[in-house]
Amino acid sequence: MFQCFYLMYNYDIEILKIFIVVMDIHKWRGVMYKLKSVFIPNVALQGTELPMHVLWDSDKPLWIQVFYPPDVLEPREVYNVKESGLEIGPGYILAKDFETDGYLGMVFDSKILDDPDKEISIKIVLGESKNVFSVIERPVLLFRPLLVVTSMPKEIAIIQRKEGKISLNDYIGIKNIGKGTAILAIVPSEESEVKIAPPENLQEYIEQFFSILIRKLNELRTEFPQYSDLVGKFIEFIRSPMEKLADTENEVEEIIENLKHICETDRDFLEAFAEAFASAYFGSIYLITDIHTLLEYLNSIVANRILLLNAMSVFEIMPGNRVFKGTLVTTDVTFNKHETVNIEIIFNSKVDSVVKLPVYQIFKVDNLRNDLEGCEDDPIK
Amino acid sequence: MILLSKQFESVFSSLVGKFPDIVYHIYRAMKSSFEIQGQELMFLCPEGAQKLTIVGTYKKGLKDVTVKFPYPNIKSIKLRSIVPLVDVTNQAIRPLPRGGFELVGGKLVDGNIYGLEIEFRIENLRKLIDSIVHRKVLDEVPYEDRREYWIHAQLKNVSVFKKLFSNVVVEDLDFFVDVGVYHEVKTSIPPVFRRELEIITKWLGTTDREEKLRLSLAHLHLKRGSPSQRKHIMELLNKLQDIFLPRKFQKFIEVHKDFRYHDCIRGVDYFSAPFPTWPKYMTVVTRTNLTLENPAADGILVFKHKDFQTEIKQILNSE
Repeated sequence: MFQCFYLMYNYDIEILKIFIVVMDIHKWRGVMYKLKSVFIPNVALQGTELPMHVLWDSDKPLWIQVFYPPDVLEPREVYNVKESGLEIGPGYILAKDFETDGYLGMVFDSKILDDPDKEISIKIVLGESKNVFSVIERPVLLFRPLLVVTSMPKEIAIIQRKEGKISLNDYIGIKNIGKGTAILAIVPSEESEVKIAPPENLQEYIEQFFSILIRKLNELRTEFPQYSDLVGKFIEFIRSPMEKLADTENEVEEIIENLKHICETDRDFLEAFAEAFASAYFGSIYLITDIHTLLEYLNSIVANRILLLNAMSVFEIMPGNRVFKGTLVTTDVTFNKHETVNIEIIFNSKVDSVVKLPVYQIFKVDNLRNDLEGCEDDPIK
Repeated sequence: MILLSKQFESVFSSLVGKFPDIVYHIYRAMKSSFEIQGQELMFLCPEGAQKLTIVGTYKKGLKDVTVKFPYPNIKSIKLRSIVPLVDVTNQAIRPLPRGGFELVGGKLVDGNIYGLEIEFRIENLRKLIDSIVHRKVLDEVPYEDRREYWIHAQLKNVSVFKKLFSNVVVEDLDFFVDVGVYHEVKTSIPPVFRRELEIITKWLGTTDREEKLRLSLAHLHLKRGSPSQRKHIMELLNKLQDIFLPRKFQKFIEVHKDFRYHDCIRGVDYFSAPFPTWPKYMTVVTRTNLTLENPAADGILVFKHKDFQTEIKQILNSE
């Protein structure tokens, strides 16, 4: 403090401020300390981890107290603190005794909340004995997708227009009112009259690709019997309908982790595994073009922040009234499951033959104009 | 239950097995002839190896005696004089027939400082690194206008290393950031281009001659109406695919603070059809180092989405 008074007396106050900022060293009642780095993330997806850290230099032991909202965050890991020096209270962690000075690391789990857009505050207080040196408080935005169905028709009529064009008289209105990306899957129930099938143009490719891949993977089970069970589970996984992936996320993760581990340690297996995919790809690529894939890609992006799984899969609708029963499942990009909506719609097809209606066509995003909507001259609608 | 560093120490110990004993044995053997000044452990993540460096001043005594280190998972060894900086490996290190090495002191100079570097292969590298480092990146950004992803790394345990080493480095830790690109691609593709894709797809999929004729006329109508679409569609698609190549995409990425850009690859799309498709995400690989002095690191990855969108529009001549 004496140095500060000396500077104020002899120099312009601005130079004093620059001195303090440049030195970034604090001296408080005889304790020298320097805050080297503090990290608190400013945003995070709900349901994911929030890491934090504090790095400092000090000539005396400090304590650090971290305040957080306990209804939103839960501390999971604390690094470099002795068990005897850690105090956990409602909404705070107090670290008093560090294994080595100068570092505190933490990981919090965040909960999935009803509010898709929640701002919280994290406060970190540093001090020595009874003195507080620094208080750092920062806001954190915790967000997630929230898909709402704005309109759910009881019936959708399918009308044949001239030159073989098909049009619908109604749609399912959807809107993502959260900030995260909503990944949608429409899953038919067992008793649904209307089924969902792979897109016609791509069906041959998909069948060929999987046929070759599964054959090659079964050969792998013979060649590497020690991994036969795991490869068998992987085959079951790739046979599963994509819409069911969110349900089996933990098992899928375990299979993938185990496969990764084997590939890292067994080079022969890695090469054979990669070869199985390469064979399937090269053996079927002649059936598909860049055009098909780009169209599938564009149609799967229903709107910004809404992606549709298998957008070009088709509803197979016979003439007359046919009931579709199913569920609209939403996950985020980390596959955390969010709201599900039950769907029951009567497709009233006035077309004489089976209609193959791409899944993406029954959705309409509120407040957004679809690319092809309202275009009278549209040659393909 | 909150996990502390102590719990991670036991996980780490189970993964490294006898390595601490090996380090201790090498240290003791060196101590008989060197005044040890420091030892460093470096995890070389891309190489899947760990490097032990012991620096010490050579004392008289190891003239004609050899010290054996029979460890078969040694990848490489170097012995260097620090001042002057000279590699003396060939003079003082001899490989053993069944793996490992021996250090022969005959040609070393009394009072000189030497550094012995030994590289070991690591098994279970990923698990080992996961047991000592916590890694996390932002999964997606909530703001359209500000596409900044935070990246974070921190050591789970510092004291377990300080017992044995004066320095520990975890070098070139990889972090994978999924940068969303689908919105820019979709909004940059003009409706006319998309209609053309639809027409061509239907044309390819039908065998009905009348339908094919109708679609051909529709295609012609589209091409006439839009000067920018006179280029062949396949040429445009090829150019569009190029933008996702690493050497092109990296110019839309900036990485700041403790991390640096390393590479980028097309994102693995878990929720798309099982054919090679267009990426909804690009996975950017960034790297950082952690040490005992700096056990935590944070960085920011910025995606210059407006420049990316401009590039797509230029390719499709839609601006």
